[in-house]
Amino acid sequence: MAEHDRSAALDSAAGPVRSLLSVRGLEVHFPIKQGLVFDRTVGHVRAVDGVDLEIPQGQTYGLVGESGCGKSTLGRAVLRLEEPTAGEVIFDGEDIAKLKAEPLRKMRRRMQMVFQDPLASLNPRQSVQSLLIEPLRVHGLAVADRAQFGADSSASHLAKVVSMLELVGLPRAALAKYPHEFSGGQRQRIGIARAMILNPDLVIADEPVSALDVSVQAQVINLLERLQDLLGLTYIVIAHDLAVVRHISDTIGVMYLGRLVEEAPSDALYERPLHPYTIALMSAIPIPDPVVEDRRERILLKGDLPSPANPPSGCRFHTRCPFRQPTRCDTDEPALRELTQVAPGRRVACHYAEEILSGEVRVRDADLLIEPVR
Amino acid sequence: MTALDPAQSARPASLSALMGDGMSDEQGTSLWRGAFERLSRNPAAIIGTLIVLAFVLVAIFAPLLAPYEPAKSQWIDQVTPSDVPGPSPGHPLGLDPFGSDLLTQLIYGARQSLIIGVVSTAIGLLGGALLGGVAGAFGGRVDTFVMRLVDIMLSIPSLLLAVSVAAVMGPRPGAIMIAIAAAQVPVFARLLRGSMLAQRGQDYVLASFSLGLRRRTVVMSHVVPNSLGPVIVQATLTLATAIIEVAALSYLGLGASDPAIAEWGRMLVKAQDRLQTDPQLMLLPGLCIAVTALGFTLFGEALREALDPKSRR
Repeated sequence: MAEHDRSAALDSAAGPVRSLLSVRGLEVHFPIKQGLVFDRTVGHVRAVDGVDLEIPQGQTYGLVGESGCGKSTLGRAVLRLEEPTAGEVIFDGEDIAKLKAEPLRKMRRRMQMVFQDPLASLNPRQSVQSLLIEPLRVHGLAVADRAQFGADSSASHLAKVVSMLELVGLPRAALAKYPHEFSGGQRQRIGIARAMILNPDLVIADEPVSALDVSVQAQVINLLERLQDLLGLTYIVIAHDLAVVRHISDTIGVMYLGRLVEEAPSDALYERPLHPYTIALMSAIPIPDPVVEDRRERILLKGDLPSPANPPSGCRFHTRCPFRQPTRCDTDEPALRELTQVAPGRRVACHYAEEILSGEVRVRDADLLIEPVR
Repeated sequence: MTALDPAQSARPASLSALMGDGMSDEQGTSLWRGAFERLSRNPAAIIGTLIVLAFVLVAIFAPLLAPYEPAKSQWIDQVTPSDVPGPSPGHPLGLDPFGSDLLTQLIYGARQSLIIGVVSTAIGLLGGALLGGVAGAFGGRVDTFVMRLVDIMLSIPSLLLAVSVAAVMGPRPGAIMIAIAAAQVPVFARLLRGSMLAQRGQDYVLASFSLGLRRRTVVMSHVVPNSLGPVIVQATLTLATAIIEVAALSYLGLGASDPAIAEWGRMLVKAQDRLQTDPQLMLLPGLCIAVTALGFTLFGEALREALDPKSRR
């Protein structure tokens, strides 16, 4: 199995790393209903359509892709906030996708989520204190915290809340306040505090900074990194901002139309993207240096994301691919395979990845290429 | 990402000092407290509240305020088929067609309107909230079934529904309240269900689930409290309508059967044939109904504005 080879490669590179989460063949399909009186299902939106990934403990996995590619749905399906249609989500040896309601509820302590819109994700009628104590009431303090904060539940809950506030950089005075009284960055800190207060192992951050001012984004990203070091967290960071993901991630997965098209260590991905979609995405990042910006070659991505209810045959990207080759691309669906020969440790879903890397396959149409300004 | 400052992430204490500004007061402003503050700055709300307050006070303290006992017909000998005595020193608004003091009847009428209005709206709210809450909490087939039931109720004009219920129940004391409540149930049901559906799609509900809260807790302590705002506003507005409907049903002869109980709607009916000779008999109860309804409407509208998140400053 390719997965086994890959984790073996990771093991040799960074010592023995335990895989905390492994997702296998995950699918989330939403039925499209129609009908006046009786609903009948006329099709499915394949939001997530067969994703495999492996996340070692303590690492950050960045998930990128344009809106509608299924990255948020994937994140929610991992936490089972969305029911997976098929596949396995193995978290610390247990299949989340098959857990019954009560064990799942208990398991939720260990997997938390940070939401995109901090205001919408906080109940407007709850004060910060009540927001942060609620999860503790439901699950109780984690074993690790009990030693520190004592066994008396309400006093130790409050002590834990105060220390958590301190940790995310909010004053004690925030306790009695309500979400609408804070700024965007402060609200996201509250959201982060709520996710972290249960001492989770895995935190999925769904666009954690895209609703924030640029000046605050860096602070929140730094906070997430600091908490990771402090609490030994494993992150999945979902974002469309490639700069944010690069800064925080160890490994990056690029999604297109419900599937992973490329997965690589973050620096390697930015240095040399291999999948045509990733290449196009990277070339869309402007470089803040007019001289370099003018000299580089850019690739235009034409058209919109095809409908996930009716994905294209063959390679899902072939309708927009600037490197498309005749016949094979629109008939055979490429598997996400590791390029053991040319780029070990990287997985790409493209028939011609090696040829693109070596330069044998080039952009087929001159219109799609923006030549450097001379 | 050169803006990232590693020094900042290393010092949580300095960071908390940094975030501390602008949070000097220890007490937060909750949603309802904010709404109350906005209400107290709104002139329409103040007028509405004053009218409602006056109405409630008059209704409660009717025995103290009224100059005479109600519906005693002590002065029936002064009433002739062609003339009802007008204002005089003993009777500031004159007599009614049955020889009772008109002012006394009006004051006691407020009591009747308040009781019927509040009780019927409470019953309607309870019934509607129950139906809407069940539909909103369970969704799916339960939702479809309950809402079709509500649609059927809604397809009957509300006054017609009230009239039919009152007619079927006969001249029982509670009949008019049930009749008015029956017409309100579908409105409240739809409102609460829609409001709950909107809240259920919010991120904070998803967040509650991801924190591991039980479904029951999520619905009862997160979804329902956040959905009640529009329902409460509707209840104050419905109170105004209920008072008018009480008058309408009494006018149609379906109101409280005991003629000794003063009631504005019935006063209108009895004054009908004397409209030309003694218009005050009709105008005064009519005015009472109109002003009270206006008061509740103003208050309800102001409450709606105060609770609307978009008007929050």
